Amino acid sequence: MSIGLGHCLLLAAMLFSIGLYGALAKRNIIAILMGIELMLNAVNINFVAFNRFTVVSDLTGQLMTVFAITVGVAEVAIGVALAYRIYNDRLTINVDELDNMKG
Amino acid sequence: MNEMISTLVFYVLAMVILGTALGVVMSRNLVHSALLMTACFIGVGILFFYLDADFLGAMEFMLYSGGVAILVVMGVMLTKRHDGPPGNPFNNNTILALGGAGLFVLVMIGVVISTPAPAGGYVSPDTVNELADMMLNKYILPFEIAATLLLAALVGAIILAKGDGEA
Amino acid sequence: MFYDFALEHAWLIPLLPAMAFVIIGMITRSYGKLSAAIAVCMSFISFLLSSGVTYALVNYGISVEQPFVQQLNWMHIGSVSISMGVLIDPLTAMMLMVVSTVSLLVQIYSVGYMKGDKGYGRFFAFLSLFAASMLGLVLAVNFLQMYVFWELVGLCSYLLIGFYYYKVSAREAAKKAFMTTRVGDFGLLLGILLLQINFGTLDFMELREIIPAYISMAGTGLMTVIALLVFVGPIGKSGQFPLHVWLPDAMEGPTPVSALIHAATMVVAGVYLVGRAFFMFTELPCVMNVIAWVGGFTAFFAASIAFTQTAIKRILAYSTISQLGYMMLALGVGSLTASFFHLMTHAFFKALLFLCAGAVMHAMADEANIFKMGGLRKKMPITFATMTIGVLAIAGIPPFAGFFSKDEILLAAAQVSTPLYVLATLTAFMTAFYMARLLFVTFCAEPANEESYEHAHEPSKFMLFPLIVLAALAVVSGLWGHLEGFGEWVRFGHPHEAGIDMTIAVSSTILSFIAFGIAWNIYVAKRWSSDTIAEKTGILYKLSYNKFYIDEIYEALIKVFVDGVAKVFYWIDIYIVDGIVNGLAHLVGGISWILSKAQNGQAQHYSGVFICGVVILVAYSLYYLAVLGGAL
Repeated sequence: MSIGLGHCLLLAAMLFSIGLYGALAKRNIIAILMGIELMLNAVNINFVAFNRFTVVSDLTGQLMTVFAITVGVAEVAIGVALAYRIYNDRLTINVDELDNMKG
Repeated sequence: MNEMISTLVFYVLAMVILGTALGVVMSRNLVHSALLMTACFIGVGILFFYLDADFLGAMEFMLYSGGVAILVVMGVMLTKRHDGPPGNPFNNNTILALGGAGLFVLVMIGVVISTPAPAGGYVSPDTVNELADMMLNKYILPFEIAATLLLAALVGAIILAKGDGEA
Repeated sequence: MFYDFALEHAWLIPLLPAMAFVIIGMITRSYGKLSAAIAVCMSFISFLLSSGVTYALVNYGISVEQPFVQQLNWMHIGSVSISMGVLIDPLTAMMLMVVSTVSLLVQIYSVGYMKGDKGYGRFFAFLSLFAASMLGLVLAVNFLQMYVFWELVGLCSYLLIGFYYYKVSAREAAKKAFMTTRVGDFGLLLGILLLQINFGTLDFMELREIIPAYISMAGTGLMTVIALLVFVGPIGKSGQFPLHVWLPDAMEGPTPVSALIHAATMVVAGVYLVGRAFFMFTELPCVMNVIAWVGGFTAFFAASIAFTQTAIKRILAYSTISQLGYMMLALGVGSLTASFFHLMTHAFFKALLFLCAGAVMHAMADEANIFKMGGLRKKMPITFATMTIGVLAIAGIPPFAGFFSKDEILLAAAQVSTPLYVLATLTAFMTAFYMARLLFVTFCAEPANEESYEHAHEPSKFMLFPLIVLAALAVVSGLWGHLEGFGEWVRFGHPHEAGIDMTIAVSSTILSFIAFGIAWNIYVAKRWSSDTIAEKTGILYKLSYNKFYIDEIYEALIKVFVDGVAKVFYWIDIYIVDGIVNGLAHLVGGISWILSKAQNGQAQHYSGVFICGVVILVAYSLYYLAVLGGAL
C-alpha cells in the first residue's frame, strides 16, 4: 500500500493535536511556543502534501510553506522576546499567573 | 519492493516525528523538550525531502532545526529562575486540552477516511528555480510583505527584549 | 359701558389674581411690598369687574332661568367634548361679590398682618391663587371645570395652612386638610364620572334639563347614588360631620388665611356646589333629607364643641362648621335662598370675626388662649367695637346681618321638619352663648396677664380698614338683602317671599339674649363659677372639650384598618413581590457566579474552550452535510 495524501494528513493532524495539547496544557511560556511551532509544522506538512499528491501544475503549496515558515520564525522571535520581557517584569514565565483578564 | 521501502520510511518518519513531538510535550525538563523539538523538526525536514520538496527540507533544517531551536534554547536559558533544570509543568487545563486535541484528531480522522483520495500529483524537477520564479513574479507582493513582516518582527523583538527605560 | 365690558370679560375675574400669582411667584417674590401691591391691585380690579358683572346682571335681568353663558371647547376626546367657560346667573354674581370683596379685604389686612414675615411675597402669591381658584370655581359652566378649580382650592388650602412649613403642627395640619378633603373629593369625582357616563355631558345647563326628565322616566335609584357621591365632596370641603376634623386644625395657617378659608374661598365651595347642582338634589327627597340632617347635626355638634374650647381661633373654627351646617340644613330643607343669604352674611361677619381675632392675637404676641387675654376693651376700642358687631351678627340679634339670614333658615326648617327646627334653634342659642363667652372673656373680663395686657395695642391702618368695612357689611348686608329682595334673584324655582315669622324671630332673639346674659354672669360678673359648671356636667364637658374624641376615634380606626391592611401589604411586598424580584436577582446572580468561574483570566483556558467549540461546530457541520448528502 503506497503512501498517499491521507497518510500525510493524518500525520499532520496528529502532530497538530500534540502541538495543540502542548500549547493549551503547559504553564511555561517557552513550552507553549514549542507547542505552537509543532502546530505550524503540521500545517506545513499539509501544504507540502497537498502540493505533492493533488492535481496542481506548480509549486504554490510549497511557496505558501515558505511564507508560513517565515511567519513562524518571526513569531518565535517575538515570542521569545515577549517571554524575556515578562520574565524581567514578573520574575515568572508561567502563563497561568498572568490572569489580568480574570472576570 | 521499492514501494514497500518507501512506505516503511514514511512510517518510521511518522513515528519519529510523533514520538519526538510527544516527548516535547511530555518531558519534565524544558531543555530536553527543546532538544526533542529540534529532532522533530529534523524529522519533518526529512519528510519534506520524502515528499519531493527538497528546498523546503533544506529551509526546515536551517530555519527550524537551526534558528528556531537556538532561539528557544536561548529563551530557556534567559528565563531560568533557579538552579537545576528548568521545569516544564502542566497547568490545570490538561483535561480540557486533551479533550480538545482528541476531538480534533477524531474529526480529522473521520474527514480523511470519508474523503476519497485524489488522484495524480505534481513533482517539480527543479524546486529552487521554480520557487524563485514564482516568488519574484507572481507572488512578488506577498514576498515583499513577508520581508516587511520580518523587519517589523526584528525591530519589535529588539524593543521588547530591550525594555523601556534601558538605553 | 363698563358693565358690558365686565360681563363680556367675566373670565378676567379669576384670571387677574391668577396672573398676580404667576407674576409674584416668578418675578417679584423677594420684593414683599411690590408683591403685596400687585396682589391687592389685581384683587381690586377683579372686585371692580365683579361689581360690573353684578350691575350688568341686574340691569339686563339675567335670572336663574336665563343665565349668561360663554364657553369654548377645551378638549375633545372621542365622543366626549369638554368645554370651559363662564356661567353667570344671580348665584354666581352673589358669590363673585362675596369672594372678591372678602379676598380683597383680607389681602389689605394681610399687608399689615404679615409685615416682617420672611414669606411675605410667597403669602400674597398663594392668597392670589386661592382667590383665583375660588372665583374660577364660582364661574364654572360644568362639573369638570368646577372640579378642576375645586382641586386647586384644595391645593391652595394645603399651601396656606402649611404656610409656616417649619412648624411640625402646621405641616401636619396641611396634610390633614388635604387628605381629609381628598376623601370627599374622591366621592365627588366618582359622582362626576357617573354623571358623564350616564348622561354624556357635565354641563350644568344641559343636566338641568336632562335630570328631571331622567328621574321621572327611570326612577331615583341611580340618581340617588350619584347625588350622594357628589354630596360627599361638599361634606369634605365644607367641613360637615364626619369630615369636619381638618377645619379646626387649619387654624395653623396665618389668621388671614383662616379668614379667607372660613369666610369666602374654601368651605363655602361645598355649599355652592350643592346650590349649583340643586336641580339634581331637589328631585331626590331622600338625599335632601340626608343633606338636611347632616347639616343640622353638624351645626349642633360643632356648636357643642365650641362651648368649651379655649383657643380663640378654634372657637371660631367650630362656629364656622356650625354655620356651614346651617347652610346645608337650609339647602336640605329646600331653601336655596336662605342658605345663600346666610352664606353671604356669614362670609362678612365670619371674616370680620377672624380678622378681629387676628388683630387680638397680633396685639397679644400670638397668644391664642382667650383666658390669658382679658380686658382688651380699653386697649383696643375699635377692634372691640367691630368684634362686638361680628358677635351680635352671628348671634342673630336684630338688626345685624345674622338675624335675617338665620331667621330665614329657621323659618325654612320649621316649615319642613319640627325636629330640625328645634335643633337649629338650640344651635342658635348655643352659638350666642359661646360667641358671647369669647367676646366677654377676651375684652371685658379682668386682664389675666398684666405684662401682655400692657403691650396690647390697636393694629395698623391696613388692618383696621378691612375691619371697619366688614363691620359695616355685617351690619347692613342682612337688612339690605332682606329689603332689596335677595330672594327674587338668588333662588331656585319660584321667587322667595322675604317674610319674618314673628314667633320664630322673637323666640330666637330672646334665646340669644338669654345666652348673652348667662355668659355675662359666668365670665364677667362671675356670679356662677365656670369650674363648678364644668364639674357638674362632668362627662359632657369632657366630651365637648376633647371634641367628642373624633380625632382619636379616627386615629384608632386608622390604626386598626389602614395599618392592618398596610401590614398585610407590607408583608406581601416584602416576601412576595420583593421575594420574586430578589429571587430573580439571586438567580441571575447565581448563574453569573457560575459563569464567572469561566472567566478565570487564563488565556489558555479561553483558547481551549474556543478550540473545543470550533471542533464541535466543525464536527456537527460535517455530520449535517453528510446527512444532507445522504451519506449517513
